[in-house]
Amino acid sequence: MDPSRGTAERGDLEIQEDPGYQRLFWKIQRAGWVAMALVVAAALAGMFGGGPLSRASLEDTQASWRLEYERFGRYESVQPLRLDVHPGNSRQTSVWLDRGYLADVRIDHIMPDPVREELSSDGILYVFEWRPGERPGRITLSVTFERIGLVKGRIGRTPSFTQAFSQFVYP
Amino acid sequence: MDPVMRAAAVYAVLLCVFRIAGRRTLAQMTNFDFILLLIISEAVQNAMIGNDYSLTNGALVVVTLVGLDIFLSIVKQWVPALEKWLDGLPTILVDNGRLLNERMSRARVSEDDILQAAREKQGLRRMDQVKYAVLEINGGISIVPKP
Repeated sequence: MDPSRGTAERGDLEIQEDPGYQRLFWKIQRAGWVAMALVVAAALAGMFGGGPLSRASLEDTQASWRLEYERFGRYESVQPLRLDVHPGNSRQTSVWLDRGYLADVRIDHIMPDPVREELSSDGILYVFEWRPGERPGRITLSVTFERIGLVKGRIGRTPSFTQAFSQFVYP
Repeated sequence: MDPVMRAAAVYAVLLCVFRIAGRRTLAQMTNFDFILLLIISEAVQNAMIGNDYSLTNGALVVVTLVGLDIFLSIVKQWVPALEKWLDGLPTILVDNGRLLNERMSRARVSEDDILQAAREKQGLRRMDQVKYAVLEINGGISIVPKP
């Protein structure tokens, strides 16, 4: 027997064995399997973005628009912000996003294209126009997260009537 | 996240996941397991490299991974107790001809697995020719035949 090398003799087999450690390790291993299963279940439920737990919506007080967004996102992955607008009789509608949010994300793509973008010190106003007689559809902004952690934004039709929303971005 | 942190994070995740998966997952190379290894390397590639295709990024990732490997091997020498947590220890499954069933079920090794190893490694025909069977750290089963 040679304790300095950690080997012991079992019968005539010289081997480094530690049954106490092994039993403990197997328990930890089983717990690890449970943890993995929970991670998969949480992902399916939307905890990491893209599922029932992650979907959220915001409506403005006059119900003239409604935002659908995800509570959870992942770094450098693309997610849509979907706006359903009801501009009433007007042929124009606008969407304002604050600078803080725009600094944390990259807008890859806006469908339909806005007719113009107005920059101000605290945000950007996107203006959309519809042809007479056409019903406005859905505005989709494809957003790529460029920051990890809690990303907060404000959105509204004008800079004065905004609502806050936040998204947690996983690395 | 810069390349060093990405590479270290992927290395740590893979180390933990494969430790939790257990030795038999790594050792048994059926078709399914082989495919799994191939797909895993694809799955982590983007996480490590990100959007950066520069030579510098690639070099940093490689240096970080190899560096971590060397660092862990040195740490294992300083702290011998850590070795058993990182690498595991061998487990005796057949002791002097006697099957240790509880350990076999915990390690997910069946009697057929031991017989297969006995045939492959020692050309033995029957279980009663096996003196010791040991599940090694790498998931393989080594056999000591009865004299």
